[in-house]
Amino acid sequence: MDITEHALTYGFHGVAEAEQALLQGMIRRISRRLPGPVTHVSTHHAQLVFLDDAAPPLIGSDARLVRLVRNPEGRQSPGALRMPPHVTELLDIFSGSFGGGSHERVRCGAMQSLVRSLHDLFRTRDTPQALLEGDGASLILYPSDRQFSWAGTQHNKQLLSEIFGAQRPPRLDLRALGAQELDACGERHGIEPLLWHMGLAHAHCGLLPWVGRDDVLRMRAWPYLAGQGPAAAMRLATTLRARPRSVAGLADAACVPETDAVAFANAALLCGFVVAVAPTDPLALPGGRKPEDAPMKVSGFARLPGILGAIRDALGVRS
Amino acid sequence: MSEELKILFAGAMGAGKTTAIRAISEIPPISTEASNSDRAECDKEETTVAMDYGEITLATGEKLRLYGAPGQPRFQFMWPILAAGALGAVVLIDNSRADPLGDLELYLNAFRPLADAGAAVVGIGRMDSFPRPTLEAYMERLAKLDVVMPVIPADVRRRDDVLQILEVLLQQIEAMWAHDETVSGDANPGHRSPEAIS
Repeated sequence: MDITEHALTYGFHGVAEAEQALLQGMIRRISRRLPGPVTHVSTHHAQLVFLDDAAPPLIGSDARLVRLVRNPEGRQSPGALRMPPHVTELLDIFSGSFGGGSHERVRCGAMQSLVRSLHDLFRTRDTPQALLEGDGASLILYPSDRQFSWAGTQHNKQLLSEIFGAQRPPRLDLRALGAQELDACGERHGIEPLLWHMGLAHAHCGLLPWVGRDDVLRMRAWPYLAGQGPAAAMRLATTLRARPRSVAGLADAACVPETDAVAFANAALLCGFVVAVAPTDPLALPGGRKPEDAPMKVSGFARLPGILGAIRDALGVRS
Repeated sequence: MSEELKILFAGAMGAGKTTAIRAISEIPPISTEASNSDRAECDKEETTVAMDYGEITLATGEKLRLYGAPGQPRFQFMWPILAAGALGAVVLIDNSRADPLGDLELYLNAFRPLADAGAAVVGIGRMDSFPRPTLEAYMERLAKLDVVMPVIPADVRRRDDVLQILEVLLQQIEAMWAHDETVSGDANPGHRSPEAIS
């Protein structure tokens, strides 16, 4: 299922057909007042599950459960319908689900789709120009040159800076560029800072969709260290520079929260500073070059941390 | 410990090696400056002909020695001598020069063992006035040379910028040490052990 097309999905578990029909009629009534389309799917795929007394045995861990209650008067007559929520309660339930995780999931679906398109665009470099627009801002992309320019006014720049500064998934769409729009473009800039911030923003939606959690990240160029705390970013970069690691291994070795490592990995991967390889790939192994006059050999391996600490103290810097 | 602790500052004439050492040394840097006979290479009155020297006293009583290598290519023979046993190297590039990427390659080749060991950092000066080559161009050149090392814009007249470069250098060395310690903890008889090198 493409979650970008279905804003919210719901299902039933242990609910009689007559009750389901009643509920679906109510959902149709309220659907016009909801911020996006709702779709009935099987229980296992639903984000919102209406259930009878017994909880469903197999359910998505983040699905929201809504237990139906029996009409007290119905207890007197066998086979009576379970009472569905009142229509206003139903509206609250759906609206609440839109405002929570499922809404975020929809935005993440759009973000993942956009990031994948951008990644492909700049990796293949086949398209001469494209327009990226949304959230009231637009910019022109030049994939063959790995550049972009702000379309129109400085307002665009401020708007996008705010979007990426807040590290929230932007609602941006990619489309072909018209000749008139190309005439209006300004000075070009390297695409890397933009991709970097987009990668950081994507951390809310996890790792880039084409990267596996067990994939090993290998640094191929020193990255930007923008948008994250300088100390954490520096630790992540130097740790990954020392040897390839998975994102969890990187977070562990750099002593930072995994979300920080995911943000760093996304940004560095999008810019091409880091590549992801399968754990079985020979490139996943640490580099073999170890020159004889490496500093650890000269300065005494065991004493090195103490020496570095003493230097930091003398310089007045803290790691 | 008999070995000296030293950090090397390298780069072309006028890249700011003497200035960087002055920014952090606790003693006035000892420089072997002489009248510059190579005004075509760099238009300044005096330049370092052998090396600069500064130092910082550590709490252990040891001295961290800061050496500035002479920038002229004709003194290239001295670079490996100064680099031997260095804790790390700071390569300073002046972005206003004719071929900064060529400078990078020259110094990278000279200090390649330190770069490969994660014990070198590149500081780019005068990027405000001379934005090209860009940082991306430096990174691209390094990637072509199969080297991953930090490239940081820096104004070495500012002590904070010099400290930032040194902090990146120290963190890199620390990360490599942590990696080596992990590896030496494995069953890897070929890898050096603390006993073998101290």
